[in-house]
Amino acid sequence: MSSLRTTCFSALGVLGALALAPAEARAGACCVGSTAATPTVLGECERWSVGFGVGGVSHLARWDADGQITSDSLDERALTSSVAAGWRWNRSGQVTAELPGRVTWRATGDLAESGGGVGDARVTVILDPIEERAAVGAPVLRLGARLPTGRSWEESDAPLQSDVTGLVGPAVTGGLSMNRTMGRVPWSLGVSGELPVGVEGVPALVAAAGSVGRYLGTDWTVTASLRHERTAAVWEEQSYRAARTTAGARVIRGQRLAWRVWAGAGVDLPVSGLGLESPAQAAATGGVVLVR
Amino acid sequence: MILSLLPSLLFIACADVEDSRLERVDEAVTSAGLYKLSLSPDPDPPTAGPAGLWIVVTDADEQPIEGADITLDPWMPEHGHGASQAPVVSDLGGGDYFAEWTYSMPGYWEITLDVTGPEGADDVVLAYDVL
Repeated sequence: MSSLRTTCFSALGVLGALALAPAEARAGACCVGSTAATPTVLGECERWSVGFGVGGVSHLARWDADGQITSDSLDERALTSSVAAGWRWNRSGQVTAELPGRVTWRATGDLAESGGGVGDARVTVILDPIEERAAVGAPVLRLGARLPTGRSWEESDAPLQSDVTGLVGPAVTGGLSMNRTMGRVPWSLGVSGELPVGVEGVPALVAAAGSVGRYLGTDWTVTASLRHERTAAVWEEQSYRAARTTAGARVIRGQRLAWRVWAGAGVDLPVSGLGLESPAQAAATGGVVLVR
Repeated sequence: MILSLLPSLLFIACADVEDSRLERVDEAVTSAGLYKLSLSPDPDPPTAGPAGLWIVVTDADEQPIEGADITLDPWMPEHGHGASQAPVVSDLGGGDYFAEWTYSMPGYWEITLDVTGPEGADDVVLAYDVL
């Protein structure tokens, strides 16, 4: 049992948490369907987890319609939080749920305001039918939903929409990643997507992401990740696109079947050509997860 | 469910980028040709925050249209949201109007401008790159 627990923790438990979590800078200025992500994904012998995370976000610049990085008139900072839980019902199936929160300070010219509240909840079923130790790696399938529990722009009272914490309407989410641990180096490659349901004009999203880590001793793990996402919104029979590229890094320390703490940072890479018609932001997050 | 998602996601990932953006214009004709508009944003170029738009409305013979009912609907199509507070339009007389609202963020915005006057109802979509 002891070796199984060690395998659990050192492989999918940590890697899954890192590889499957969105990059820290995902929380866009107006695309607030996701905020600080708490890694409550469970390893093979873990049964449940509860966690809490906090973070900060700062607006850097934006990609314009030609993909060029440009400064703009907006000053924005935000504090983010999330509470999350996970439950594994058997070796190959688990579910996670997360409720984010956000407080935003936004200013431009002589106009400044703040607002916030509960964001859009997410529920995700994660299926990892093959043991991660298999030579070819382990596929991990995710299916879920984003629920419109936050305040959308339609419900906003603030001219700069600093009180917006969610998107209009629900969305189905999905993803497929391949995880593998080679010695002390876990890595993951995957794609994911989010498709709004029954709402015109809300962007759909597709993303490709990769992460690589290194186990340090028995308690520590460091990772680096890269994510590129594209969105498309259909409005009045026209398609409108946006894109952004985010790099992130995380440090996790934990004791198996007990707890994990983590700290991370992410930045939308402010390089021309790596984004389109999107804000570029930097973010930092941290938190704690209890695991049994 | 995955299979139903795939076509949409593949479209986003792989399709050629079709430029749906409109060019900014300072003189416009409504879609049915009922009205001519002269447009001047304030500030120019527009920036995030309070926004204004001076509008001069004439008919096809360039006679001023007074007392028209004008509404504006700002929309940020890439991000799927509009303005949280509806624009307020003031009739200044002589075919001159002034609209005020707030751009919540920089980027590409489209403004659907509806004019209802003696010639009937007509509209035009304007575009601004907000800094």
